[in-house]
Amino acid sequence: MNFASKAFFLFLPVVLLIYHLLPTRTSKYRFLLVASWVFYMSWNPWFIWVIVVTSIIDYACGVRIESAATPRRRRLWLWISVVSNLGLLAYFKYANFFIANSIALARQLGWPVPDCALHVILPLGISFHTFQGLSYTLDVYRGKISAVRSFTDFALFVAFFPQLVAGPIVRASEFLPQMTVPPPVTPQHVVEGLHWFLIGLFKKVFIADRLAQFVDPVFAQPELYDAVTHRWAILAYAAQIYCDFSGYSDLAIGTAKWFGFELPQNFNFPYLSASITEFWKRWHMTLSTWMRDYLYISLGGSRRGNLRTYVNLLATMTLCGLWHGASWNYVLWGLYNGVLLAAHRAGDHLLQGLAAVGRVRQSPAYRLVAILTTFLMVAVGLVMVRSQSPAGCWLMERSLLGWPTGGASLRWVPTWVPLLVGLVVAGHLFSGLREVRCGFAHWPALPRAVVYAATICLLVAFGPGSTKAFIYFQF
Amino acid sequence: MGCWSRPRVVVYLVLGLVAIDWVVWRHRAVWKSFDPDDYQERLDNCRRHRPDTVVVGGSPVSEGIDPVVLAGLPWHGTVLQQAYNLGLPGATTSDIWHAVRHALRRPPKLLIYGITASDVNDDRLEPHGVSSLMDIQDLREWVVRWPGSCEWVMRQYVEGRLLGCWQLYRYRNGIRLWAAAEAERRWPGSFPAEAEEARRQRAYHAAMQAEHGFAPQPHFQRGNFAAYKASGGAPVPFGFLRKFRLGNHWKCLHLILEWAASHGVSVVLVDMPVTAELEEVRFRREFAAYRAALAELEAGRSVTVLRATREATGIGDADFADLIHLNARGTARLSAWIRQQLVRAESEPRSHGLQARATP
Repeated sequence: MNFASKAFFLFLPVVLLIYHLLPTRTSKYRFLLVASWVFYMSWNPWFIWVIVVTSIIDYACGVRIESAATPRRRRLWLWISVVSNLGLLAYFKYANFFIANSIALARQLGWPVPDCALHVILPLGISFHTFQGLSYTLDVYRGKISAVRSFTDFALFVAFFPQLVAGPIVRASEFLPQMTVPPPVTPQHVVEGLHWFLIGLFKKVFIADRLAQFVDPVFAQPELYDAVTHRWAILAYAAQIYCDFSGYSDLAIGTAKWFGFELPQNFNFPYLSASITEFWKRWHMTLSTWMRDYLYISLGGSRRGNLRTYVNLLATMTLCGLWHGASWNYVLWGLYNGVLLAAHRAGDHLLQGLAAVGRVRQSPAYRLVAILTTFLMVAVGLVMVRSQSPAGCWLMERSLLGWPTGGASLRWVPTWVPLLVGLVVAGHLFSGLREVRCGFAHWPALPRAVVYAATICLLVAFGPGSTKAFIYFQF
Repeated sequence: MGCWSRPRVVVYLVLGLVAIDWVVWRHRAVWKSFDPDDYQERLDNCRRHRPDTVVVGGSPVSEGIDPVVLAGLPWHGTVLQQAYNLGLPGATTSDIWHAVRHALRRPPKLLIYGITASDVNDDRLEPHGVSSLMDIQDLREWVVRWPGSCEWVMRQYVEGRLLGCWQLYRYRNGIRLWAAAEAERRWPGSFPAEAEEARRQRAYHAAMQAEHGFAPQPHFQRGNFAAYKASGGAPVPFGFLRKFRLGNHWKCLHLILEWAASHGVSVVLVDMPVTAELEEVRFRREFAAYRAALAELEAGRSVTVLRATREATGIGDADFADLIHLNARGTARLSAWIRQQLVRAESEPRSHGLQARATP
C-alpha cells in the first residue's frame, strides 16, 4: 500500500475514524498497532514475523538492560539486540551481495565455485525499523531513556505506519513521551496535517513521478543522448530523489499529525548547502544524526586525533552507503561522501583562524559559489547510485563535468523537465534562502484554501496515471 | 476567532473543491472530446442513430468490419439502410451482452456478432465493461451467474460508480489533454507528445460520432503483419487466450441469442478470421475447443454461423495488422465477404435461413 495509492486513501480515513472514536488509551494504541501491522502486511503478509520478532526482542532487551544487576549482563542484552537486528538486516539485505562477491573472489583466485544465490525478498522498511529498535536499546543502555513497560507502546513506536517503511527514523526519546496519553488532535493539527500531506503528495506525484518519465530512459541508455540531455537528466534526478524522499517524509509528518503525533523533519532544503558537511546536516537528517550518534561517536568520533577522525568518517559514510543498498554503487557512493567530508574537515582545519577566510565566507558571492560547487559534488555522487552500468556512469559523469563525450547527438529534453526542476529550485530559493519553512501556514484562510484546492487539481489532472513506488522503499 | 480560523481553511477547501467539480461537470463535453469513454460513446451514438443492422464484437470487429459496406442490404423484402459498428475494443462476450441489452432498446432487424475465441475465454475479466456498461440488474445477474468473480465485479462496479462522484478525477485525462492542446496552440512545441495524443483522441472521438460508428485506429489500418514478420520483428505477445476455458462468457452468448429471439432480431455469428500463427501455432487447442462449442451451438440452437476463414475470405497475413486485427485491406475484404454471404443467403433463404430463429 503506497501513500499515493487508492488503497491508502481508503485505509487512512477508516483508521483515523476508528482511532478517534475509541475511548481509551489502551484501545486506541492496540488498534493503531494492528492497523500498522496490516499496513505492513499489505506488501507481503508473510514477513509480519520480522517486525513482530524484532519488536519482541528489542522490547525484552530494553527491560532486561534496565533491570540487569551487572554491567556485563547489561552488555549481554545489548549485544543480543544488536546482533538480532543487524543479523536480520544482514541476512535479508546483504546475504546475496556477500555470496555473489565471495564467489567472484574465489573464482578470481582460481577456485572452481558453482553459482549460488539465496531467494531472499527484502522485507519492507527493514532498514528503518531495525535502526529504530537499535536506537531504543542503545539509548536504554546509555541511560538516556527508561525501558518501556508496555509491549503495545513499544511495538507501536516501531511499527507506527506513517513512518514505518521509509522514515523519518524516529528516536524512542522523541516518540515515546508523546505516547504517555494519546495526544489530542486540535484543528491546528488537522490543518497542518493537510498542509504537509498535500506538499508531500505534490512533491511525489506531481514532480518526482513525472520527472521519472524523463530520468528513467536517459539513465537506462545514456549512450543514445547528448551531453545536454545527460545534464538535464542529472538535474532532474536530483530533483526527483529529493521530492520523492522528502515528499514521503512530508506525507508521514502530515499523517502523524492527524493522530496527534509529531515526527521530526527529515530535510531542510539540502541543495542550498554550502559544503558537503552542511549537506549531510540537511539531507535525511534522521539517518545522518543516527549514524553520528550510534556509529561515528561509538567509533570514537573526533576524540582520538585527526587521522582516526578521518578513518571514522570514511567508515561511517561507507556503511551509510551500504545501508542504502547492497551493491558496489552504494559502497562507492558512501566512500566518496566520506572522502568529501574528510577533505572538507581537513580544509577547514587548515584554514582555521585565518581572518581573511572568515571575511570571504561571509560574502554572498562565496556562498553562491559554495552552493553550486557542493551541488556539483552531490550530483557526481547521485550519478554513481543511479547509473545502471560503469560505462553509463562514466559517460554521464563526463557530461556533467563538461568533458567531451563524443558519440550520440540525440537531444531530448521535454518542456516540462526544466519547468519541474525550476519548481524545485524556486522552492529552495523562496523558502530555503529565507529560512522560512512554513510561512505559507500563516496566510489567511481563503487564499490558503485556494492554493490547496489548486494543488489538488494539479495532482489529479496532471499527476502521472499510475504512481511509482517511493524510491526509498527499496532501501 | 483563532480557533475558528483553522478549520475555516478546511471548510473553504471543501467548498472550493465542490465548485471546481461543478465547473468541470458543466464543461464535460469538452473533456469527453479529448478523452472519450469509447464504450459509453458508442452506446449513446448507437441509441441515437437507431440503425437497422448492428455489428457487435470486440476489437477485431471495431477495427475489422466496415458497416458502410453492409448498408443497403436487401433483407426480408426490405432494404437495411443503416448499419452501425458497435464493436467494443477489449470486450468479452459478457460486455457485448450488456451493450446489446442497453444500446439496442429499439431492436435492429439484423444483429451480426463477429465472434472469436478470445471473446469467450473465462480467464478474461475486463473492468471497462463493468464500469461503463452495467447497471445494478446486470450486477445482480453477474453475481448469480458467476459467484467466483463476485468480489472483483463488485469492486469494479463500485469504483465505476464512485468515479462519477468526483468529476475532476473522472475527466482528469481529458483536462490534461485539453491543457496540452491549448499550450501547444499558444506556444508551439511546448508539449508535442501530449498534443499529438490530444489530436489522436479528438480524431477518435469525432470518428465515433459518425452515423456508422466505424472508428478504426490508424495504426491498425496501416499495419501489415506479413511485412512485420518479414522484417524479423519480435513475436507479438497475446495473452487473451491464456488459461482458455469456456463457461460464463459463453452463457452470455446464449443470453444474446435469447434476447434476439424474444425481440424478433435475426442473428448471424461471424467466426472472425485470425492469423495462422495464432490459430495453428500458438493456440491450436484453444481454437479447436472454441470451434467445437460453436458447432454445437449452431446445431443445437439453429443459429447461423458464417465461417470467415482465411481460405474462404482470401485473407492472408498481409491483410492483418497484427495477430488478430485486420488492416484497411483486410477490413475491406472481410466486409465485402460478409455482405456477399448475406446477400446470397437472402436470395437462397431455405439453404441458409437467416430469419430470426435463434430460439432454443
